[in-house]
Amino acid sequence: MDNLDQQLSDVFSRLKTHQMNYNFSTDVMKRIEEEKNRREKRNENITQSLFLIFCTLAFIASMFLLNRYFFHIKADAMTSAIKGYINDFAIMFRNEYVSRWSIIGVNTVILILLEQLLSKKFSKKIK
Amino acid sequence: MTREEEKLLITRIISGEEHLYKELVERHSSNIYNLVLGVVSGREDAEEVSQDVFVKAFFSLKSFRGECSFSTWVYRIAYNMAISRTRRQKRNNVSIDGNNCEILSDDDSVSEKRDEREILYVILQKALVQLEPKDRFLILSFYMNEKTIKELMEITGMSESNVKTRLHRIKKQLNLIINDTREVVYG
Repeated sequence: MDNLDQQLSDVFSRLKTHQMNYNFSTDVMKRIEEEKNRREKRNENITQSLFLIFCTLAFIASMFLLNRYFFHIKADAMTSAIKGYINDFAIMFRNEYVSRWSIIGVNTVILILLEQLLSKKFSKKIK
Repeated sequence: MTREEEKLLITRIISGEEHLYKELVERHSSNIYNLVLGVVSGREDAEEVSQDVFVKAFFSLKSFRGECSFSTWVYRIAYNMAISRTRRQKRNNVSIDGNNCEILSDDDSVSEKRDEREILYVILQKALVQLEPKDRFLILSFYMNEKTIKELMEITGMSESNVKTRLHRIKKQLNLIINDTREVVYG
């Protein structure tokens, strides 16, 4: 170890003396508890969402089976009805007045959503 | 505490005795805090980053395989978090200079005594902030926390030659600053 090494070790060891908050370890344990609760809550929300999706799918499937085997509604009839609804919807949008305002509306919604997303992202970064 | 004892303690924490983690925090917090304080700007930030380090370490304890010591493992987390905090500070224009860096607290008695060691201490503090955050971390870990080259390799993920070259370059840089300042002080 040369002279500079010795000097550096000597001086750097003095930098070690800064004292932190004496509650440091308690604060860390508190933050761990908070983080654990947050994670538990998030897991609970995910489980609930998955359960909801499962229930919705089960409900759709049961409705489909009920229609098919109990009310004897053929799938063709159902699809043609759906097609009819889509056609009606499309005709409505073919109207020039409606289509113009709907395009403006959709664009406004997209812009608002983008603005919200970006502002959230930036505020998180600043924090 | 030996490495085996530490490993045993970690096993107990993972298996449910989470309150024992406080012991690990108390053992390593001072070193981590002083190191982080040398890299990031301000005591509050340093304390926040140090807390983040231990919180992250707690939730990643299961991935600790014991190939290195717990200290080296925590230092690796501290290294990544401190460097990313300095990047964020840079983006938010928080300057790390001699006036706001807590590690550089001005001590009047130091300048009054004019003792060479004291002057060197102040000069080194000033020189430290001129280094890159990664270099500050390296030099502080090496001299202040007495980490070996091998441990520094594990912490930073750099190669042996890279660590050695960087340390050599930093020492040269510090030496230059010290000599320059001495000339100014003593003429």
